[in-house]
Amino acid sequence: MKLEDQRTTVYKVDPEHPESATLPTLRTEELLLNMGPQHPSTHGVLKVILELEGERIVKATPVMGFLHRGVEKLAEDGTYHQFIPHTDRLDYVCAMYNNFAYCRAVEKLMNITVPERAEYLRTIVAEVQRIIGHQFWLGTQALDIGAMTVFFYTFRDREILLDWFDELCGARLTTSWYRIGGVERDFTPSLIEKLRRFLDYFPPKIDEYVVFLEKNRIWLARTKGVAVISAEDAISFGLSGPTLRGSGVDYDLRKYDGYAAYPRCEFSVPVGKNGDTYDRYWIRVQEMRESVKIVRQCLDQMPAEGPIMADVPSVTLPPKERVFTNLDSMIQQFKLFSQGFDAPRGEIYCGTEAHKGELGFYIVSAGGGKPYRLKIRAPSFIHMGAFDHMSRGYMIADAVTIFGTYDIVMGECDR
Amino acid sequence: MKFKAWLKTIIFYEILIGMKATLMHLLHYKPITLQYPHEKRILPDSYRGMLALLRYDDGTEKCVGCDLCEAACPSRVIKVISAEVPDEPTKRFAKEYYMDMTRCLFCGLCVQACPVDALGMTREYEWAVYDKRQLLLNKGQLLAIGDRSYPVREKRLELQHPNVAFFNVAFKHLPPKES
Amino acid sequence: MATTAVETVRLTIDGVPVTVPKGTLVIEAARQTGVMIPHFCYHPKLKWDANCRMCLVEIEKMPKLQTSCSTPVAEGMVVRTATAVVNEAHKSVLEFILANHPLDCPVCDQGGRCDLQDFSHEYTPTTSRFIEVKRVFEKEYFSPLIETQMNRCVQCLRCVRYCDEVMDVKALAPVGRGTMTEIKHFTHHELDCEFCGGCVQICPVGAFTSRLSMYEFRPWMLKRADTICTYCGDGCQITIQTKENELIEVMSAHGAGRNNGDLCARGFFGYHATTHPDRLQHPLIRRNGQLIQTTWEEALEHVAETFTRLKLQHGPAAFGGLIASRCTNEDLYVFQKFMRLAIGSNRIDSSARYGHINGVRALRRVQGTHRWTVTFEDIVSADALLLVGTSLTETNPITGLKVKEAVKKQGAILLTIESLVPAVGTISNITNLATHHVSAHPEQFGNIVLGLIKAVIEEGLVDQALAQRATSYVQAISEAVRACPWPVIENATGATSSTLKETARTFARAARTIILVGQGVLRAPGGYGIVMNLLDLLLLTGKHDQPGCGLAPLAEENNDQGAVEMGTVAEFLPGPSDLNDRPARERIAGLWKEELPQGAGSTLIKMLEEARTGKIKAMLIVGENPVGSLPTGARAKEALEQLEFLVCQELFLTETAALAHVVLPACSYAEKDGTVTNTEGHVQQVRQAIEPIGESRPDWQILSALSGLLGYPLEYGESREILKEIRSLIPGYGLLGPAPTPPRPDQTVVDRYLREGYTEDLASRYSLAGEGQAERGSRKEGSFALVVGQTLFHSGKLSTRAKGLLQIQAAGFLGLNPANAQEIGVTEGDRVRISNEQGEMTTTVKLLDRVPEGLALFPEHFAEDRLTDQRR
Repeated sequence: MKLEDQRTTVYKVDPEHPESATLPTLRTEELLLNMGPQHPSTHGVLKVILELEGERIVKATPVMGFLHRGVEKLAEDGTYHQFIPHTDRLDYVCAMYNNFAYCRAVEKLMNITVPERAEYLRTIVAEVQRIIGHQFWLGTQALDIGAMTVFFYTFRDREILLDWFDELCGARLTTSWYRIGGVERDFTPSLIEKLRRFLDYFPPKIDEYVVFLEKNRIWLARTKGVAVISAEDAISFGLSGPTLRGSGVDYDLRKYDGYAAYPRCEFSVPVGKNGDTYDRYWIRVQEMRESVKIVRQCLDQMPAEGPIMADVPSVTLPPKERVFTNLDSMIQQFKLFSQGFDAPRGEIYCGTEAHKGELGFYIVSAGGGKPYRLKIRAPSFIHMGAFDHMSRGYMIADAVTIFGTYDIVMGECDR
Repeated sequence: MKFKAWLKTIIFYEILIGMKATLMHLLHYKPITLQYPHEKRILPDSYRGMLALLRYDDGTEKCVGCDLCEAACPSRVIKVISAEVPDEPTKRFAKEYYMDMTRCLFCGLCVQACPVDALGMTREYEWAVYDKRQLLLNKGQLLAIGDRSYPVREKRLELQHPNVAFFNVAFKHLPPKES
Repeated sequence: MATTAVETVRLTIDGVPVTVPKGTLVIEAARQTGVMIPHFCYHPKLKWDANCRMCLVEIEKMPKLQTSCSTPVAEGMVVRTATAVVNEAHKSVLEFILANHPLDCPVCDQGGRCDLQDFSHEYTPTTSRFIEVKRVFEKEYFSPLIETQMNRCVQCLRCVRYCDEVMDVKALAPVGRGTMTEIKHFTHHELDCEFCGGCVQICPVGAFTSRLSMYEFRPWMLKRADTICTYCGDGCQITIQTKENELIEVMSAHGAGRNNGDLCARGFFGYHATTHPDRLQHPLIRRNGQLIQTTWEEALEHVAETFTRLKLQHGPAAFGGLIASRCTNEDLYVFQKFMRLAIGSNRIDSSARYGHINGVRALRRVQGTHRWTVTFEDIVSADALLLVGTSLTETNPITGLKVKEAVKKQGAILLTIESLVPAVGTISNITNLATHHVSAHPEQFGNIVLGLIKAVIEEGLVDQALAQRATSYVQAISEAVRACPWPVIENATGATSSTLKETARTFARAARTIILVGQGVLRAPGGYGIVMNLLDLLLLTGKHDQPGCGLAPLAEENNDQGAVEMGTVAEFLPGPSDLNDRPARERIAGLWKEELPQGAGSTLIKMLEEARTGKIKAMLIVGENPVGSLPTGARAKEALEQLEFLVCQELFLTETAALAHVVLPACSYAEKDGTVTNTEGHVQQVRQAIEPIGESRPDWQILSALSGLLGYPLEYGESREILKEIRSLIPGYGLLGPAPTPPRPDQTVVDRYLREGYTEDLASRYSLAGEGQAERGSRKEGSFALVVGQTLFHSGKLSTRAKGLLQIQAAGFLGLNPANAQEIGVTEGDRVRISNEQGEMTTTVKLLDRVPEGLALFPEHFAEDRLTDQRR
């Protein structure tokens, strides 16, 4: 169907006045509609300029930058350690994964190997964060489409994990728990106990969410065959994560890159077929189940004892108790907090599979304690690039579904 | 089969299933919402709430004014003005200490940076004010928060660790620094 | 500069081939390849000591690790600095040092720029194996300005060696053995030394810190501004470090500026003067006899109105201008342009008048230059140095360091004619290093110079070429000195003819000789003649045009040289060119697009005279304080009170400013940009470190604003534009490289001088001064010859506002020889009343071995001590 063909102008010709042929009596033209930046379904402050032909979208232009805070520039002004809290505020619903991706990039730059126990801790928390992310996505996506109940259910279970985070690191959302070379705090027995209880509790709850949606005709009508993107297009647009896998591309950095403890865990990567919103929904639900599996395996395999921080005195922070008794650690503490560590010259890119897609940090170091340039490859931002392509021809109400299907968070998108 | 599907369609079967799930919850009614502010969450010990300055068990301030927290802070919340303690020559302390809590990220880096454990994060979070200037806290206010949140105080550092014995001590026989 | 081929050696450091001059140390060769070998005890300025063992490296074919700071390079040497063995050595050394170092980084001011921190962070194992309790030194009171924490000391002895080798003060010494070595002052009272701050700067850890800014900063908070110290003519580069517009400290990096990172007490501790609470913050205007605060607009309009009125009534010649040569070249230039164009008067003078002008005039007359023909580098590489009336350590400490380096490291011969006697003291005494020393009362310097010339002629040391070329000149001088018989010279000066002959012989025989002339000569009555005679001495011995030889009058104020070159003295136009030099006048008038005023200039003393007689009705005084600095005999106060209108641009309400009708607050050097020219004629950049205090403005801006109101706008956007204009008048004036390129003597001027120029005042120059005066040694019981001079810790009046310097020296004192003191029954610290025909005052006695018997030394800086005539 060619949209241009539908644009018609109807003329009523009065035979007595042939000149009236040039005067239109009914004219149709595209309607320009600003959606956002305060629209509740835009997940923050996204503005989209929609060109509409009736209710159909002819062209969609995302306008971004309403939540721009210059995070990349802030990174240039502080030490590498100091940037960790700023990464919390990228994708503010999944701070742990941002911390993780950033720390991994710096570790790659500084060539640091993280101790085994720390790797397991990091993997567990990252997967817990993935569950939180998908729960959050599922609840809000359903809410956007009109199913309110699921929102309450997912958020109920998400609360359990957020409280678990709170106990782990002292904050529910702005976690800053990962550190360069390890993690800030170890698990306590009570945390492990709580997590195991959750793992038993959670899989039936996934089924419960699915009950509301999987057969629901409204849900199916709003997701099946909506925002279809082919595998080639998805790759061309640089999509990643569930958005890419929904189109049938089996690409997951956890498998490909094999970082942290993932190579030591058994899990499968769900892949869709149609590349529509429904497949992406299905993948996320499946991923929650896989995450539960990964966490369980990690808890079983994790060494009971061991350091949680790499011991590279010129880069990693010393344990606090040693600072009071040992001059080397005192100096280390002083130097790292005041000047940071001396990074080698060079540039590094490190991508990590966050629940939205590939979250990458590109760091250019000119030597010294601060990055010369830091670029964040935020999946939300990349996915917004495909918005126009994916929304053309769909109804205006579907635009909401399409934002949702990317799991867009403006904090990350605008940075 | 076809009939079954048709029947499910006309009776909105999948909706009924969903309704059932909801009704089941109605039976096992257990609210998980907290009626804040009448009910409050029990916060973990490690909670990263309001910052506070601490004291030793003899009532003296722990802070030596080393500026490391200021250097560690990613959003420049802290301002330390250090000086020599009046009448205690060569002893360093924070003459003035300000925290602009409007900017604070509550990341805890300052607490981690402090080489004398003079900073602590409390479980206080109800700090909404009408005038944001009230969130510019000075040393006295921060010490007061510490006093009410950390009733158990540590011994002086040099008593805990013999190897830091000559750490920030005053030499009474010396003349004080001229201001 | 000699460009002889230097022997080079090739070696390999960490696989990188490098070629360095023979004799280079491995550590320096490594630095050239970009490899930093960690070290504590090594410092390029000092002889190596190799006591810290931190700089160990592996050298092929050497059985053990070698200290790279003490190993000279050899052909084909293969050095490795980062092998496992070397790293292991670093770790062990650090472990030992850290074993005793207290955990007080949080309270240590060095934290953040500490070598120990840096190396430990880079090389250390993570945990020390030492669990023993650390060494503790009992803390003693060390000094009011320098804080020591011996617990932090790594015993590298850099401070001790610096104090001895560079400063020649020897105030510090290591006491104790092994780990218990402690750096102490020798005596049991608090530190009493030159307070150069060298130990603070050179200490790799926080064992020595400055107490002035103690605990006020962290290095990462500081903003730096490289500028030039304004306390003396040496023109040391200093780095002013500020924190939020507050002065925190002054440093000077190794290798920076003409001083190579060395400073004196004034430079290091004297920076607080600019932020003294008494600084003028607002313009003041006199209403009903009172100076009251006003706005810039009102003050400037009032000045402009009154100037215009007085100019109409009395003509431009009724105006006089005086500027301090502590101002920048830009200020000085705009000042003279303002006076000459906006006012139209040539009656301008600057504080270069006090002494420096005498040196410049003599140089111009004899050899046609207005600058030194030598540089600091020439001083260091000289064979013989003759110091005349310099009090070098006190007046020009950094030139003093160059002389010390020449004598101690390069083996130069030092000849001194000073009022001090060699004696060990708390501050270094340049005469201690002299091979031949003549001690005399300042009045006798001229006679001693005569004696030297007489010795040169009698000993046949006159250059043969000169004797043939300028027979009449040599003849005339020979005759002149013949009229001064030895017994009279000996009697007057107290120096024997054999000493003088020996000194003359040593001087004449050395290949590269430099004469340094200090304030003792330049400021004395007849100083000009003495400088002329010293130039005759150079001519007679045939050295005036030899490379590395020359006469160097030392500037007392930081921009004395610039004041002369900017034409802010009575006899010169910018350039300097003579006031009556027609081509120069035309050129300047062409550039200024305005006719230069006619009429002669007036020197400061003449201006005061003219003010007294009512010839001058109004004066503009910028930063100068004639009431405070001129002897009471000059009756400056009386003269200025006669004025109808007096405008002062000042930092503080000085005695002169207190008489003014309008006082305009000016910026100090720390608050403005510009250039200054140091004593050797090197133009250097002054950079703004802090925002102007209060409403103060740079002097040139005030003058520029005033000129606009007077209808002759001199408009400049920034100081660089002024420098550009200066450059159009004096080609090439400005910042040229790290070291000056000195001018050569103008041969035509020298020839003219040898032909006829010498005759006009020969007779007066070659007559014994003070003849017929009471004989030496016959002074009245209890009376002394008073010498008013500088002390090391102050410079002019500004330094008496610096709290750091006041802690070293808070008030004036009377320096007496211990023998004299015993005679009159006073001792250290006694209050005494001294009197002369100028007045009387009470002060404290200080016993100084360096003061010769019969002399009493009195510093000139303290306002309450008004007794500034050089008579008893």
